[in-house]
Formats: sequence, C-alpha cells, structure tokens
Amino acid sequence: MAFFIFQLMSKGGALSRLAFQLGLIEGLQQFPDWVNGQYGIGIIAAHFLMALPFFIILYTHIYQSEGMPALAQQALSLGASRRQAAWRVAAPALFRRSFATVVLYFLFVMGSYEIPLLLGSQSRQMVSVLAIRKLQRFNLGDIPQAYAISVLYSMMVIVLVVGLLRSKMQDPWKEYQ
Amino acid sequence: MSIRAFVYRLCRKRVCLARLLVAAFILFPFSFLLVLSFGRRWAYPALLPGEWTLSNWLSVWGAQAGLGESLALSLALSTGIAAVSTAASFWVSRQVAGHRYRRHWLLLAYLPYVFAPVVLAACLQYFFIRAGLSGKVWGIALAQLFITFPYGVIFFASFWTERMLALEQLIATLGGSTWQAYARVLLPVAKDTLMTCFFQLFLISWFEYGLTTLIGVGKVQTLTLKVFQYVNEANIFFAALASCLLVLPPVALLWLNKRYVFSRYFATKTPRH
Repeated sequence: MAFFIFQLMSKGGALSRLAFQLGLIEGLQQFPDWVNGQYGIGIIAAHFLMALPFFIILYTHIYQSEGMPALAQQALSLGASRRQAAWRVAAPALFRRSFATVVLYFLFVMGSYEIPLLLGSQSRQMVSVLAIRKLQRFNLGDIPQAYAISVLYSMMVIVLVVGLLRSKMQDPWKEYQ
Repeated sequence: MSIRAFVYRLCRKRVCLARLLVAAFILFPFSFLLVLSFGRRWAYPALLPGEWTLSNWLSVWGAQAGLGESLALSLALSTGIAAVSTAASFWVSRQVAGHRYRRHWLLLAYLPYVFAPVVLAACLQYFFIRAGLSGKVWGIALAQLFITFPYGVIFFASFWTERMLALEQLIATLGGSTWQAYARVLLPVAKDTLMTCFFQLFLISWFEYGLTTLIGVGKVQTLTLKVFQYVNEANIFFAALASCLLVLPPVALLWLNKRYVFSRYFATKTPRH
C-alpha cells in the first residue's frame, strides 16, 4: 500500500501526471507535497485505505450481531428521525462495541514503521522511524537515545492498553469455569 | 414502460454502477502495480510507461534479481511460523482459558501485539546479537514468534467456550484421555478456526518488514525487503513486480479461505427447513 501511494501521490506519480495532462499544473514542482511532506498526507491516505475495508467489515458485523436494524426501527417508531436513530442510537452502540478494536488499531497506526518510512517527512518522523534511524546511526551517542525512545514508547503503550482496555475488555472465558 | 418500472430499472442500474465503482476502487491498486510491473521507461509527464515488456516477470527466477529465492524464502518462513504459532497458541490458549488469572494473561498477550514490532525488535536486538541469532533465518523466525504467538492466543480466546468445556468433560466422563480429546474431538471441531488462524498468522509474518530488517540486518532477503530495496534503488518496475508477488499468495489464501472455510462455515450455520 505504501509503495502504491508513493507511486500515486508523489510529485512524479500518477496523479501529478494526470494533473499535468489535464492542464491543472505546468510542471511536477507545482504538485503539492503529499508524499514526504510535513503534514503526512501520504501516511494518512495509506492508513485510511488500509483501515477502510477492515472497519467496514467490523461495523457491518457488529451492526448485524447487535440487532441494530431492530433498534433503529424501534427508535423510528418512538418518533426519532433517521438522523437521530443513526447518531443517537446506532453510533454510540457501535462505538462502544468496537472501542477495544479502535484503541488497538490506534496503537497499531502509532507504531507503524513501513508506511512512515516510505511516505513520511525526513524532518518530522514518527516514533518508530525515529527510534530505528537513531539505532542504525554510526554515532554511538544516538544508540542509547534510540533505546530511550523505545522504552518511553513502550511505557506509553502499556499505560494506554492497561488504562483504556482494562475496564472495557470483555473476558472471553467469563463463563468458562 | 411505466414510471415505476423505469425508476426500478434506474435504481438497479445505480446499484450496479455503485458495485462497479467499489470493485474498481478495490482493484485499482493491484491493477496499477500490475501495469507498472510490465513497464519500462516511464518519463514524466507520460501517463503510462513508454515500453511494455515481459522481461521483468521472466527475470523472477533469474539469479540476478533474486526474486525467486526471496519468494521461496518468504513462503517457507511464513508457512513455518504460521504452523508453529497456530499449534502452540491453540494449546497455550486452552491452558490460559482454564487459569484463574486468565484475564491478566490475556492482557499480557495483547502487549507484544500492540507494541510496534519494530520497537519490540529494537528492544530485543541486543539479546539476539548475544545469542548469535542476528542475521539468521532462525533468528527472524524466533523474533516473528514474539508477535504471531500472542496474536494466536488472542485469536483462540473466543474458541474456548462453555460448550468446549462441556465437550472435554463429556470425553473424560466416557473414559477418553487428553490425547484422545484433542485428536478425536477438539482438533476436528476447531479445524476451521485453526485454518483461519493459520491464514492470519501467515499474513502477519508475510508482510513483516521492520522486525525482519532489524533482526535479519539485511542478510535475510524476504520479499518485503526486496520491495524496499528496489524502491531505494528507484527501480519502480521491479518494486512493482515484487509488490505483485507479495500480493499473490495472500490473494490465493483469501480465495482458499473463502472457498473452503467460510462457505463451509456458513453452510453449517444456515438453518435448514
């Protein structure tokens, strides 16, 4: 996906060529910095395209398993508008059921390496890229910094996972014993 | 034609168009990479490569590109890791399910999975160097177990339900041993779940890059490493070719999964009247 976005959205990529052919730009230097730019638009696009099918499947499954059509129908029968049924009945229930997955996906995106490595900025690096770049440098002073970054990141993840998931995570073996 | 029939046909057409658009949206990345893999000389601002050739694909088994070797190595590595992790996590998840601190064990299983694999590799790299496993295929296999095995334990968490316990108790009551319980009942019952877990672990191992780079120190050239190598060399056509090769086994697995696992699963779930 990273390589696809790189070839699609970079200055010499397919979108830039298409914009040139359509007369929207006069040269590749006029095409915006979507890849390796400071706002990480390429990274966001790659993760969005990767997450989209996964979350569509997830929410479709939850929508059916939680009996959402019946709940929405009930809300409509009680006088709610379609918008209210969607945002005040279905959305909170869907988010509550998918909370653990969303948090885990957030952590996955935060710790991703390949996509920011290929599509990210050289000056503002994501934590995993920064740690590994420091680890691979020849300056011995950078290596302890890489370990410090890794440990800090790990601690942050532990705090987030324990804090956010502990209360929300269901015990799959609750009825086992 | 009545207005109602016209509106109905229009809606049908709109649904068909929407389906086509979704299909095009999904297939576009693959077709884009496939087109690039057959190309050569793609100067700006041409929309398509200036020359079309089969030589990129023919060189897959050539010694110079080394793509065939990387493909075989990646396949062997991912298959082996997926098989070992699936078997081990299935057994361990059963032990965890029966443990009084099962929730804490499950929480621990989440940690290696939610850590960035590359950060995990950075933390473990020192030990791999000391153990002489750095730069070796066995080292990468062991390192990937750190992320695939906990995922397997989490995956099987939902399998060990009250029904499974009842089955085990029934076997014990009827005089069956633990071995017989696994061989004759639990494994056949879990066959589809085991297959799905195997596929998912294969995919995790197959697409792994950061951990493989750090522990393998570039000496173990899996297919993902090849893609990045070609990107760094600005050889976009070979990078596209390697990306296509990278996509093919997961697509084949997805098809197999859908053909043999999901279809059977839904066939057994569909109520018969």
